[in-house]
Amino acid sequence: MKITKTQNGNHLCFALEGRLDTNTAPELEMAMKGAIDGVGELTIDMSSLDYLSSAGLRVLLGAQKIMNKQGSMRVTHVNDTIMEIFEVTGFSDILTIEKA
Amino acid sequence: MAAKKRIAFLIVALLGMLCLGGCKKQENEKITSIEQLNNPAYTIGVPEGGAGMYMAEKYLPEAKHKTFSGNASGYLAISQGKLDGFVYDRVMMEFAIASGLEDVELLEENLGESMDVAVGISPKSQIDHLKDKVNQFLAEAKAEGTLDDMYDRWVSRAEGTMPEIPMPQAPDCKLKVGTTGMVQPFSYYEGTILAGYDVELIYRFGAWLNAEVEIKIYDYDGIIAAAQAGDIDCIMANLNATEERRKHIEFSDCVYPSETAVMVRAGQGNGAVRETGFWAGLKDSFQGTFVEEGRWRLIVQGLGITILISVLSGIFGLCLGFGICMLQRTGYKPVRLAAAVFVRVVQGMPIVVLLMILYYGIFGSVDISEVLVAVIGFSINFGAYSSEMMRTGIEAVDKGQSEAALAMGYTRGQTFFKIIFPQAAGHFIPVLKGEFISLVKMTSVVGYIAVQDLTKVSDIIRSRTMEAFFPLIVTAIIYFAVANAMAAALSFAERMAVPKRKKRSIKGVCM
Amino acid sequence: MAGQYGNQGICTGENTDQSVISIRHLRKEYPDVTPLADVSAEVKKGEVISVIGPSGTGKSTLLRCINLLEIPTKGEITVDGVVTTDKKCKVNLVRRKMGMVFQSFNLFAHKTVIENIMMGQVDLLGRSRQEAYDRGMELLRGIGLAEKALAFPDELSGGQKQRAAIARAVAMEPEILLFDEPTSALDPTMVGEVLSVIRSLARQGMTMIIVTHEMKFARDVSTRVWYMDQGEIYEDGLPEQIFHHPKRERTRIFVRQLKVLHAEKISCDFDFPAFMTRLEEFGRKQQLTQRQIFAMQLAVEEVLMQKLLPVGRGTEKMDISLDVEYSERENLAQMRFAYGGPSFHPFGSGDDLSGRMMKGMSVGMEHRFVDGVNHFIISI
Repeated sequence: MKITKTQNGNHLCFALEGRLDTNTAPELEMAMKGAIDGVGELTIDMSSLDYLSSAGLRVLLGAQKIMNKQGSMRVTHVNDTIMEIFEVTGFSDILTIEKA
Repeated sequence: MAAKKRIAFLIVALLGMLCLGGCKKQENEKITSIEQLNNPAYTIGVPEGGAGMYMAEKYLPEAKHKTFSGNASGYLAISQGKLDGFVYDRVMMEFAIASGLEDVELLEENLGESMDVAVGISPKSQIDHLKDKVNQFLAEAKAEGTLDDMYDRWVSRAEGTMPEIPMPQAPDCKLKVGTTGMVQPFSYYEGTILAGYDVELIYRFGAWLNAEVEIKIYDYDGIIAAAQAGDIDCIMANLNATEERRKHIEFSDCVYPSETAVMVRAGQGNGAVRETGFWAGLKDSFQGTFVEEGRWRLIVQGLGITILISVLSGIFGLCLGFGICMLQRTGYKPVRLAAAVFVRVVQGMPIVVLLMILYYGIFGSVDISEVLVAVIGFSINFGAYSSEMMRTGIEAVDKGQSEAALAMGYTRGQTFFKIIFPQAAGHFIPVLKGEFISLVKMTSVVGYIAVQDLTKVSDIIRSRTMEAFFPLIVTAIIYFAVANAMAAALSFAERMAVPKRKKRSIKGVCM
Repeated sequence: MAGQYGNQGICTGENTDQSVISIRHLRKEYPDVTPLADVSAEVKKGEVISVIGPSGTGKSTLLRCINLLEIPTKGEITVDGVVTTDKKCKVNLVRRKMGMVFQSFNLFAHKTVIENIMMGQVDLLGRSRQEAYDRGMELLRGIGLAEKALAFPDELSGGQKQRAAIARAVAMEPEILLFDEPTSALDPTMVGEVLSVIRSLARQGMTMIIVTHEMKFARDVSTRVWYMDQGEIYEDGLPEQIFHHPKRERTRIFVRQLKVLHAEKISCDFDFPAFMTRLEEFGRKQQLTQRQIFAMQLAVEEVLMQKLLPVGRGTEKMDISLDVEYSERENLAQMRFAYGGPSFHPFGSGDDLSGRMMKGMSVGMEHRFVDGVNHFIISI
């Protein structure tokens, strides 16, 4: 997986590319750790993400919890298959999701 | 189109050139002496093995030599200008010219010395002391003046009629004599009857010996071998006792001396006389070939032999071929291998060689009819070829056919004969037909083993009429007719064997 | 193996007097292959047995051994009380009791249809030509070929040829008919006409062994099915059993026409990304949708990475294996996990994330614990 981080003042964006699974979820977790401190607006861009498993969901859930305290988080450009994952797991109710 | 035209033109041009080349043989100056011919610029024809060859080698070493197996083809070559001279027995050539050989003449002087004509004696003859007996007979005949009388009648006066010679009523033995039947006045056919000096000599000797006489007809090149192999006891065929021949067989004392002469192309004068019309010429040829001396009977006999050999060989060959084919299908490997080797060997051998081996080798010392030997030889040949055809025909039948029959409960034999073979026959009969036609034509070589088939008969007639083409063309036409008639017969058989597709019916059933 | 299952047929337990054919430890070897390893079976009067199985597993060889078109390497075959494998046996007489119908028809090419049917009757059964003709025409009328009686085989369509070939076999009044893939060489449009002839023979009580690839036909027409695999009768049972509740693994895979991807000895060192790629390739090859492939990958990851491997860490005995099966007919993929250890349902512990996810993405999950082995199946 490729993670591209873009910071614009108070606004942080992670663009994810490839697969977010058991093996790659820790990478995202590491990248977020510390980086989101003091961030008011967090965007996860999933336009190039092909695959998402429960391990990835857990990382997203952790980020959401942090952002709930200090600002807002959006998950953008979600494709149909990943949207289905969000829906069956109930994440669509927890996260702010923008479909592709 | 253009390309086609050009090719056609090329072919025509080529043929034209061939014709011109053939016709326009270099017109050398007229030959008037033997000395003149002893020059590499001239080509002379010499008969194989005889006195002519001996003399030509001795006295005309410089000239180019061309060997001929018989006198007839030599005559033909010189009259067509392919030769400048032909060296042969003077008497025979005189007779040939008298019979109508055109555009040729003999040189006055003899080539070399005269040479003995003698009776060839087989070293394997069953008759004891045959040579002594022949010599004794000759001495008595000479003393009585019989030989001189015969020579006078046959040769000097050319009054060819066979005298009545009483045949022995209770012969002590059998005397088989070889002669050629192709040289006037010594041994030739008057119609269907063998006549001539040698023939009279044969009968006289037979009577003297109190023996039953059997005369066999050979070419000069086969006759020595026949004597050597013991197929005949002696040869009375105007045979010169050359050194070369003495290595193979024995010779009696001299019967009469022969002279060797040289035949050359005649001067212009002769040619003009010959101008007869085409139709008149054709009529003459027809007359000479068929009508004179009742020669058509000879042709019918020859044709009968040709058909007999072809048909019998076809039938036996087919049986043999089927047998070989069956052997090749057996599970036993050495048998299969032996059959395959047999087929290969026969296919790889010229039929003439096979016939000679059978005649002089395998049946050399057996008293067996030449026609039978020919039938055996051609049966073997045809058998080998037809077995291959049957084999491929059988292999072409789908394996499923025999499986289906076996599965129904047919035995292996029933399956083969009821299911496989009828289908294979549909495949191989058309090919076999062609092979049979070529068998008919192949039988023309049986003259080599003293069988007088159509071809041999036409040779005999040619040796009498001294005509080049007409008998050959007649022979060709007869072969063509016979081959086609047989092909038609086979096609009929084929239609009977292979189910008729048009006519839908079943036998033995009320529908 | 074969013997073990050879006794599961419907007619077992009855006395063997009724056996038309009995086969004991039949083996056929060629120098390079062994199409029949060890076959034992019984065929009773009136049975219609379909022989199914992948190609190259000895089905045709078995049939050909029964009527001795192939000579068995080992074993014994008894037909109608005669031991045909005996050297002294009159093979051609035994074969008359068995009619054979071939894939390639094998009508005698030089004979008309009616002559094909008459020949054997006249030559082998000693009937008069008239009798044979009458019987032949009766049979031809029965299969709608009377008007082709005087046609030659090469003038018939494939279906007509095969029907005529069946009539030829029936005319010999055999005890049993052997069909060697009777419809495999036919155009699909002609299969039906041939099968209906065989069906009507079955209704008349003809004993038959039919090697076929027509599954629906085999299910409908037969009284018993032999599933052959790797040179033996792998499973022998009623059509209902073989086609709907096969007892054995390979039978199930065959009858459901499954495509399989297999992995075993899965451990922590398992090359997970490589397997994901294989799974994707497998899915593409079977023309699965992107969503199906996604769900399959998810199932593998959630079950293995989230559940089984973390739990089994340190215990080598789990011995996880996975079969991914795809049935094109049902458009259904099944992920079949098998693993050791105590009974354990990966998503049995309530409402966790992975469990929710898989429930949502699959059409069903099933856990069984049999003989110390866990079987967990997710259908997608």
